[in-house]
Parts: sequence; C-alpha cells; structure tokens
Amino acid sequence: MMSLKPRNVDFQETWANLKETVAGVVGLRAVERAVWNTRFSDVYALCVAHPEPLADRLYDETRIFLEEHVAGLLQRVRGNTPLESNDHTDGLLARYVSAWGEYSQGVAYLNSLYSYLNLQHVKRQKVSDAEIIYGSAATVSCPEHDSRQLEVGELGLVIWERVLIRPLWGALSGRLVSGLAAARHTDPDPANADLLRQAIHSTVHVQSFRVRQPLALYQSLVLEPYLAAAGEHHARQAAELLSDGDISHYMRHVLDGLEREIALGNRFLHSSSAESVRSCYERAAVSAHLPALHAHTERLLKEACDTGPNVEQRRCDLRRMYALVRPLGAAALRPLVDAALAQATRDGRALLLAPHNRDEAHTHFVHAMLSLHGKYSKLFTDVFNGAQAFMGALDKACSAVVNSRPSGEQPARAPELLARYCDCLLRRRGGGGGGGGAGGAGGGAAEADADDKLAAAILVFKYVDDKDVFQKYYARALARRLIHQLSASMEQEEAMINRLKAACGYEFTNKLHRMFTDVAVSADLNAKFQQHLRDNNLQTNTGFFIQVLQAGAWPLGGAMAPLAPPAALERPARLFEAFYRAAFSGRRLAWLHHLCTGELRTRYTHRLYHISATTPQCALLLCFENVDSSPVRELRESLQLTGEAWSRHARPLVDAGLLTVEGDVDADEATLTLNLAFTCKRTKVRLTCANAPNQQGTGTGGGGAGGEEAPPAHCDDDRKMYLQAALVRIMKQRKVLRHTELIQEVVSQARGSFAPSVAMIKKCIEALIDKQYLERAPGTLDTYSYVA
Amino acid sequence: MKVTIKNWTGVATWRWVANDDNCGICRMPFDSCCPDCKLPGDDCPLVWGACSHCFHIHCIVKWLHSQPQQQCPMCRQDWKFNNK
Repeated sequence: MMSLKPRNVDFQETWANLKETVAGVVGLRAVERAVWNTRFSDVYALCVAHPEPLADRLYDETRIFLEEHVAGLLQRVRGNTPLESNDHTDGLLARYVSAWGEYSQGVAYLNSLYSYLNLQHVKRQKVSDAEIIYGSAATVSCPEHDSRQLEVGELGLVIWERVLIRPLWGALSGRLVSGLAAARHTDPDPANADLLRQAIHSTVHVQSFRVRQPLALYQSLVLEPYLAAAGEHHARQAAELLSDGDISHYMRHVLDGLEREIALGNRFLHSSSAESVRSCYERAAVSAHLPALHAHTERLLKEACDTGPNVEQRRCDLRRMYALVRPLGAAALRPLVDAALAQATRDGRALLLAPHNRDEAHTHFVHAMLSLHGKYSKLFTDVFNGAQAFMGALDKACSAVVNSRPSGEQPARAPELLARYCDCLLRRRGGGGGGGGAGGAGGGAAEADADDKLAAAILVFKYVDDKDVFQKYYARALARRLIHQLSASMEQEEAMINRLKAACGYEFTNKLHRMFTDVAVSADLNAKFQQHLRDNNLQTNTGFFIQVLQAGAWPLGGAMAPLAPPAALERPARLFEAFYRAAFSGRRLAWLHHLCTGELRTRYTHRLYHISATTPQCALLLCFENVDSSPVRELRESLQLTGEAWSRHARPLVDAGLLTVEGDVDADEATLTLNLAFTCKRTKVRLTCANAPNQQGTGTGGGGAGGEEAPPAHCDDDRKMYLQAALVRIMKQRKVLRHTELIQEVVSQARGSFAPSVAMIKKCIEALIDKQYLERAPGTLDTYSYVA
Repeated sequence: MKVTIKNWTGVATWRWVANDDNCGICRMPFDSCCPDCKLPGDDCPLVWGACSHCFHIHCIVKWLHSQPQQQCPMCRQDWKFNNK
C-alpha cells in the first residue's frame, strides 16, 4: 500500500522508470496493470514531493520527451518521398494517418496516466472559460499559446501540430486537395476514401480542445486551399459547359455538379463546411454566368407557356434555373420574376384581344382572365414551387391585364364586363329549359354550375381596380333583376353579395343588402294590403303586386313626370296609396312608371297574346280601345308624356309590331295605328323601354336585355366625396401631417374600392383648404394641419 | 274590350315628407340618417311634434334627455309626439 504522504523523491530515478512506461504508452505497446499503477503513483509522488514539488520539472521533461517522439514520427511519415509532389497516392498520407492513429490514441492514454498532474497542477493554473470570455486584459493571452497551462493530452496534440504538421504543411495540404479533386471525378476505393477522411478529420481533432476557433487549423490547412482549387475547377467547367452546349445543357450539368459537390463535401469534409462548399460552387459556376442565364429566361418562359412540342422540356429547364438562381438571393431572381410578369401580361393581353363575338364580350373577358390565371398559377406552382415572388408577379400581371384600358383615355371595361357576366349568370334562363324533360336535377346542376362560375368571377373581381364602378353596374343590374323578378334564385343572389362582402367589406355591399331588405318588406306589405282589401270588401279588378322601395338605396332615376294612369290602373293605385298613407305616416310615395310592368291580354288578334309592358305602354295600348288609329300629338297629350320619354316607351311597341306608324314616331304629325293583324311566334311578348336616356338613338329591340349603358360619370363625384371624407377622417385623427404621408394613407384607405389618382387627391385637398377644413401649416411647404 | 289588364306590378319609391330638408338638431338631411346610424330608412325614422316640427327620432330623444324641460328645440313649445 503506497503512502499518500509527501516524501523525498529522486527525480532522475523515478523519471527514468516513468519515461520507459510513457514511451510504451505512446507507442501503444502493452503495459502491465501493476506497472501502470506504480507509474500512476509515481506521477503523484513527483507532484507532491518534499521539500519541493517536482511537477514543473516532470511537465518539462514530458514535453521534451513528446517533442522527440513526434520528431521521430515525422521522419517515419516523411520517409523519402519528395515533399514537393502533390501525388496523394505516394503513401505519405497513409503513413500520416497510421502515425496519427497511433499517436492520438497513445496521447489519450497518457492523459489518463497524468491525470493527477492534470487535476492538481494544470487546472489550478488554467483560467476558467468565464475568464477567457469575459476576462480582464491580463488573461486574454490564450491558454493554447502558453504550453505551461495545458493538460498533458492537449500538450501532446499541440506538439503534434507544431512538430509534425508544420513541416509537412504544404505536402499534406496539397495531397489532401488533390485527393479530393480525384474523388470528385472517380469514386475512390473505400480504403483510400477512408484515409482521406481520417487525414482531414485529424486536423479537426488536433485543435478540438481549443476554446477559440477550434477549426482554425482545419480551415487553413484543408478548407481554404480546397475551396480555392474547387472554385477554379468549377469556373473552368462551367465555362466549358456553356461553350459546348445550349443553356439547358449547361443548367442540367451544373445542377448535377452541385449535387455531386455537396455529396463530396458531406462525405469528406467537416459538417460545418457544407454551406461554404455550396456557396463556393454557386459563386464559381452560377453567379459568374448569371447574365447568360438571365438572357435566356424570356425565351424559356415563352416556350414553356406555348403548346409547342418541347413544353415539358422547357419547364424542366425553368425548374432547374429556379433551383440554381434561388439561393443567390432576391436580386438574382428579379430578372426571372420580371420576365414571368412580362410573359403573363403579354399572354393576357393577347387572350383578351382574341377574336370573339361582341355580344359575348363579357363571357369572353371573364373566361380569358380565368384561363390566364389558372394557366399561370399552375405553371408557377409547378415550376417555381409556388414561390411568393412569382405569385406576386402573377397578381400584378392579372391586375394589369384586367385594368388595361382599350385605348388612351377610355376607362377600363373590366367593371362593366364583369358585372354583365354576373348579371347573365344570376338571371333566370329564358324559356325554362324548353320542356318538362329537363327536370329538377338538370336545374340543380345548372345552378351549381352557375355557383362555381360566380365564385370564379370573384377571383377576377379581386383584380379590378375600379371596384366602385363595378358596384354601380352591379347595383343597377341587381335592381333590374329584383324589380322585374328576373333572378334565377334568391339564394344565389345572397351568396354572391356575401362573396362581394367577403372580398370588399361591409361598406361595399350595404346598399345591395338594403335592396334585398326592401324586396322582403314589399312582400310583407303586399300580404297586408291584400288582407286590408279583404277586410274592407274592396276590389282592384286586376291582379296587383307592388314593390315599395326606399329612395336613395336604389340606383334608379327620379320619379317620372306624372302620368295619368289608365282608368283600369287608377283604382288599385289610389287604393294602395290610401292604404300606405294610413300605415306609415310621413312618407310620400312616388310611382316609377317606367319600372312598373303590366300584363295584358290582347283580344283583337285571332290568337291570344300575353303582353308584358310598362305602365305608359299599357296606357298607350288602352288608348286604342275605341279607335284603331290616332295622331301622335293626341296620344301624347292624353298620356302627358314628354318628348324623350314618349319615344322610349312608344318605340318598342312599334318595333315589336303591335303598332304601325306613318312617319316618324317622334314627330307630332305622325299617326299610330293598331296593328290588327299582329302575329308573333310566341304567345308571350315582352316589351321593355330603352334604359339609358341618352342612348335612345340605338333603339334596342323588343327582346333586348338593356343593351349598352353609358359609363357612370357620377362615379367621379362619388370618388371625390369619398376622398374628401377620408382626408378629413385622417386629418382629424393626426392633426398635422406631411403631404406624402397623407397621400399614402388616403391611397391605402381607398384601395378597397378604387385606385385614386394623385392629381384627384390633390384637388380634394385644395377643395378642403378652400372649405377651411385644412390649412397649410405656417412656415412649411408640405405639411397640412387640421382646422377644428 | 280590345285589351284587358290581367295583372299589374307597381313600383314606387318612398321618402319622408318633412317641412324642412334638414334635421334641426343634427343638421343632416332627412333623407339620410342621424349621425349615430349608418343607414337611412326604417331604422332611423323621423318623428313629428305637436308643434309640427320634425326631427330624427334619435336626435330628439337625445335632446329631451339632456334638457330639464321637455321643449321643442325650434319653437320652445312643450314637446309632444304627434301620433297622427
């Protein structure tokens, strides 16, 4: 049993014994357990020796021994190969790896043998991690620079680096790089690959104990030379690829090369280098040739969108191009995005201009937009992985196409066309399917189909800039459908309005909602009126149904000049007025005769015809009760119709053939004659009056559904009001604001319903300054302040 | 009878019949609503007083609540709702 008490030790003798064992350990020779234990105690004894501890001396002797040992290993590794050659197969690497394997293992054992020295002697002197990181200037000197403070295992590694690696630096580095280069081309046999990997990882291991920059040796010995060589190689290869084939050839091979390179890095290099290997490759092979890539984007995109034979090929090319360019950042991707935007826009414009039937312009427009959107969103998802930049480009392209103006100053037709498209879908189909055969199932399918189409129309709607113009057209069409009861189904109408609400907010649809409420209220009112008639034993002579609408919520013209209703209609109208006045105090009714419809039955023709017509038209027909022809002047006077309204109502009757005219309908001298020989294929004849007052010249036919409408000029006024309100709201909140910020805020508020022009906003600001809502802040050029 | 009327669908609009264009309290037109409402119509009706003055119902109720005496703000007569 050894004593733990400090005692007098003879250093020379003990070290001689110890040294022999140390040599055995480092050389990985067998050491008996008893010997190991004795030597372990010897280390202890030396460290606690009396009268003077001999630890420092032991440490120095050990260092000298290790230096000599490694110098010996250096001779073994070097052998007699010429160091200048970079032939990685000349055996130097193999000798290095075997020497390293032996030495690193031996040093690890040695570290255990010296563990008492490490623990007591070195640890005390060692600075803690905290001191290294936060320490004062005195401790900044790194532990690895002062060999006194290293544990024995670490000391061994430092000596290895200093004594063996430094002299062989160039030879090792050159051989490793050439080894890696060879491995890139031909898969090395497993033994060689293993050598290479171990040699590389030894450079990591040698410094792995370091607190700072543990990879410094690996980086300067292996990684940097390798990257420099690889960069050159990649650049050369990329240039070759580009010169001996087209762009797709280049992209295919470069992408393959990238994969190969990453695999190579993962196999041989330290895991921290994956990123730099990748970026080195991209810099050398892709970045340098970006202009060449960009030069081809437009052509590739164009061919990928065509229906040519090599679409699939081009899509693959684009997919590769995206994969290559994407890691280089947004700036490198930009030309690709721009090209995509230009392509989609060009394609969209071409689609819109494709020849089509003028009457079907609305269907053509919506279908063209939907196919454009569908095609490109599919393409971009497929090729560019649905990247946000490209989806944004698609949105931009769609909105540019949707809002493109046919020429110069003309407003975009999108709002009108889209509204007409919706109108056609929501309108009841004429004829009702042509027979009983197309029963409920067919109707249901048609309805579902219309539903899908409406949902798709919302997609187009989102791209429309002038949403307020769309709203005007839509509201007008909706009013017509509701009043004339032309809607295919109320559920569909509601669903569509809800969709618009989801897209544009409550403000946008509240007028439309209002119209719905009025229709519902009217139905209720009719029931009450019928009840009232029954209760009071009153008769109306004819079927009677009324819609009472709230002025203001409906996009209808004002009440017409008073018309003397025909006697047959006078009675129900008066009865209802009385009833209404009793039911609601303080309200005034105004009849909109041009919207009323009467159903008439002819008795003078030999077939019975059902005619539906506006009230003035009914009245006009009733005028022929006692005469067969009458001068226009007389008819006009009895009906009290003024010039313009007259022709709007009379012309459809003439056009439909119910009346014949001698001379011009508008002229006072003309004579209207009832056509007693009227015939028509259908038994139901529907008369409308031309809608737009300023377009009577076009004279729409009897069955026409409204026809062209003038663009609503009052949209501009509404916009001004909207902008002024927005300006006041913003300024009231902010009190003082700079011009540019104010414009920005207004634009962002208005975006939901239209895209305001800066000129218009400026005009509105001027108007508000005139009205003393705002003033220019004194002393500044571009700041406004709110005047309370 | 050459022509008989089988059925007639009338369409009419209504608006308030007031002796003024604007509400004397909020100064908004009677065709629009009081400042607290969003939409004109049945939800923001008008009322008439015995003195024949007319206001948005929301406006006059607010006014009456804020006053010690129940007077018409236009003519200072005692306010009575006219339920004609």
